[in-house]
Amino acid sequence: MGTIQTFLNCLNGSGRGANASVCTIPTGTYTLTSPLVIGRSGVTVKGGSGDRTKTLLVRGQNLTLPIMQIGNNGYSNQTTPLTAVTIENLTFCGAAIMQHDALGHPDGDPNNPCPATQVETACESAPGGCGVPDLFITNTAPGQSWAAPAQAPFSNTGPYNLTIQNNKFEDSPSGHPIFIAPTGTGQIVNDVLVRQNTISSGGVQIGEYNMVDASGNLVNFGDYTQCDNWQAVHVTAFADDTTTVTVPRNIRFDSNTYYVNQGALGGFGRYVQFNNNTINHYYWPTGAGGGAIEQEQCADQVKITYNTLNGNWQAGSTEQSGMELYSRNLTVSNNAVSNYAFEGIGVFSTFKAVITNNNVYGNDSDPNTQGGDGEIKIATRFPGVATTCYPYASQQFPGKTCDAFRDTQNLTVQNNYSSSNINGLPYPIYLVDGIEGSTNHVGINVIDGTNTVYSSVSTEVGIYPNVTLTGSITASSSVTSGGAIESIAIFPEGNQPLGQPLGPGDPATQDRRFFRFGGTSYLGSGDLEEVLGFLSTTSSGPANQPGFGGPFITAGAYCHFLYFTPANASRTLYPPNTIFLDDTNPGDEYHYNSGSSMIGPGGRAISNGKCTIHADTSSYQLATGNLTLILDIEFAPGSGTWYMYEADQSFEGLTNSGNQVVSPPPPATPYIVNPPWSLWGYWKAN
Amino acid sequence: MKILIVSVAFAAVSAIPSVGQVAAPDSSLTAGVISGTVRGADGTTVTQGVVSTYRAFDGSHLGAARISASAAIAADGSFKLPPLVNGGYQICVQAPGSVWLNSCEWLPNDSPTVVLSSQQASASVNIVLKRGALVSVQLNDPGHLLQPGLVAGAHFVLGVGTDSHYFRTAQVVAESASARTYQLLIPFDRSINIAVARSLLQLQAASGAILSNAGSSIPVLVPSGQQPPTLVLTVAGISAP
Repeated sequence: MGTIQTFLNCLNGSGRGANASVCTIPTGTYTLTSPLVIGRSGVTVKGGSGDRTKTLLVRGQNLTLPIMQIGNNGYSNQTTPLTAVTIENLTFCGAAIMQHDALGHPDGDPNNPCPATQVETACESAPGGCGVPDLFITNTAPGQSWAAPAQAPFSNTGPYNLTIQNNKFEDSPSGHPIFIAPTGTGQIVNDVLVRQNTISSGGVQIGEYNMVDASGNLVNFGDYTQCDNWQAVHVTAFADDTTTVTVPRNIRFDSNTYYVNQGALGGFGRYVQFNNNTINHYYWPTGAGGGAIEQEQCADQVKITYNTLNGNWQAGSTEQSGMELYSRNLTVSNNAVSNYAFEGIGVFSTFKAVITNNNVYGNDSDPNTQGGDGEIKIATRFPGVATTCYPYASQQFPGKTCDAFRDTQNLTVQNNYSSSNINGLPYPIYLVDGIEGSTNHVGINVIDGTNTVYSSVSTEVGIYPNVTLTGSITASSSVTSGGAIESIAIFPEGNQPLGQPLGPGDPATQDRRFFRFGGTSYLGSGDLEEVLGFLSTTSSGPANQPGFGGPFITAGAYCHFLYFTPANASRTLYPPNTIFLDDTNPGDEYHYNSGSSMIGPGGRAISNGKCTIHADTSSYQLATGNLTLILDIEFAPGSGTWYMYEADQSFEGLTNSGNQVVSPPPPATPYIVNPPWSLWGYWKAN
Repeated sequence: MKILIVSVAFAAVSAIPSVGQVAAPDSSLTAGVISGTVRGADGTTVTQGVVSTYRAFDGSHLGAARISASAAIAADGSFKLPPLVNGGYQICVQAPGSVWLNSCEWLPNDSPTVVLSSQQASASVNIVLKRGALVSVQLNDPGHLLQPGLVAGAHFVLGVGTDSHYFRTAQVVAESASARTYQLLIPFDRSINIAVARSLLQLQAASGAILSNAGSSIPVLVPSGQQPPTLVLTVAGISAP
């Protein structure tokens, strides 16, 4: 075994032992004051013993950078593409104090070898933590030749650019001991194998919302249109584009053991495999929840197989689901998922997901919420008002992007098994509504009777009444109680460059384009009587949420319409499928004296001088649970920024709840402004 | 313990992506439950309707966290909302078809608020609704001009703008070939304008006055303790477009 100086020479490429193919850290405990940087290919960095607990890398008191980083020389953007790198037989001690809660429950790894001290590191004491991983992977070589062809990463086993094996990651101060993401132009991460490690007190993050593409442009991969529309524009499938897309590709996790109080795997990756891993949750009274495995909308080709997820939820602990999945081309099969507070497997706004042969049991176990999630939960979601939508990059409020969610499409759920019904769930498979803004539409490929559930349940599938299906469910199913009146978000089309106009005929200009309105009802779309829109060029509200607090009635500055739906026309004496436009005189509001028209062919243009609704080229769609109204609206040139508010009302007089509750800091007391109006973003006319 | 110092020159720390800004698996923070009862100001149990809530915006990126919820009011006036992520919430109650005002459409800043936190994972709220004045509007139509298809393009819309600028249409509670009765719920002790929107129809007030061709407003004030009036309008003929 060499000395520590030999190891440093090996790592840094100078002196005795420089550039050896194996850099060995002698056994012992090392306190890091700066990161260890791996900046060359063809090297194995390893502990001095196959017993990984014998070589400890401990975060130093003032180290607020990663313990180890790969492919990036000290965040100086002097990156080096790497291949054939292996890291093994080490223990990363991310925090000086072994994490434990206020009640003294220790962190999850029962064999944590890290030293415990009584002094917090700067990383731990920073507000919210210092936010850095312990192992940071930013740049590898291009994908291996075997991994480049479509689907190949799922059928080959290497060699990988980077292998991380037989290590322990303990006590991450950020909750993310491993972070896999390029950070600058020209960087990319391909072909990483993470196997047989123990990962405790945190999970692995792949990618981030905004990543630079090969041309240096910042792309928001939290927006599904950037991946769903990729192939139509670039010909190559999103997952297989190895030249332009920088979302990490071919990231494989095999046979790792996790001890977590929150997520084990999150983020965005392409060809992500998560096989034969074990996730054990431990008691933790505070902190984040979500899914133990979460992959976002532009994660593509994700395969989660043969894993064991033990939620171990008990009263007072963080509530989580086993999986919270939003991604494309998703396979979840042969997993055992049990005892989570919420659902075992959540499938939300996915594209082409196949959920088969899983044993999912004992989930939805929080008695406060039992029966609301089921074992497998399915929905089309919406991200909420915190991410209201500003479709064109040039129009976006700084830091705000359009994170609209896709409708769930092409979903298969077959041959899943629930071995017991210890929680007495009425519906093991549950199709629920999203939150305000969702279309609540789910596209089914197959959900059939091959799912085997406990004998005490006669109905396999529960469906919220305002969920609309394409395709059919052939399993035993019933419509449940629950749901609400909800408005549908006005901007579903995502950000540019790949966001799409709202269908054929969209004028798609700055001053005239289609906008989507609509609503869903827990009593079905036939229950929706009215859709109201209020587009206002006056704004106030928090600086980071323009438009909050509206709509604002200012003379000459608004476009206010009332639409009576065609649903169940016999229930109303108001004219069905007719839109009324208000004038812009605040002393004369609600008289809708700027004209009315039916929607669709035969309609006419109505105008109040600030906006014109071209009713003849507008349209509506009435589905089982929702109604969408596509309006062709033309704004007066130079009319400025239009903040867009929407509300819906049922025949019973119920409305959506609105989404504009704000809490000015401080005090924490919230105040509400103008329910039931929901704010869905803004549009700038020329 | 050994100190391992590696000589590497570091650029600005700001180049480090903070994992707090990425799609961390933390989109559903710890959940709490809001429950309670709904009663009228006179102690009457409110037996039907919907309680809904929405999380106060505080700049957090919450992903798909549960930030809104609705629940029906039970026959005993109780409600229990599905679990919600920690944060501040405003509670709204709708009881259409009753005499109780929607607590968020009228004087919305008076609606109850709740803060869920790790210290207060559940909250019980006793909500008291204000009684409203149920104003009836009788629309006589002796010429049957409101019958569908008789006067192409003719329509009549009646309603009221609430404090939240929401237009609440009047509900038809009775109908015959020659008359309709609408109802609107408004607050007591405030002058409220009832909006009458129409096209191609000439309307006459009970006083005999012909309403202007443009949309009209009928101011109504109902003092506490008094019976709301019944307003009478008559479709007097067809007006010029």
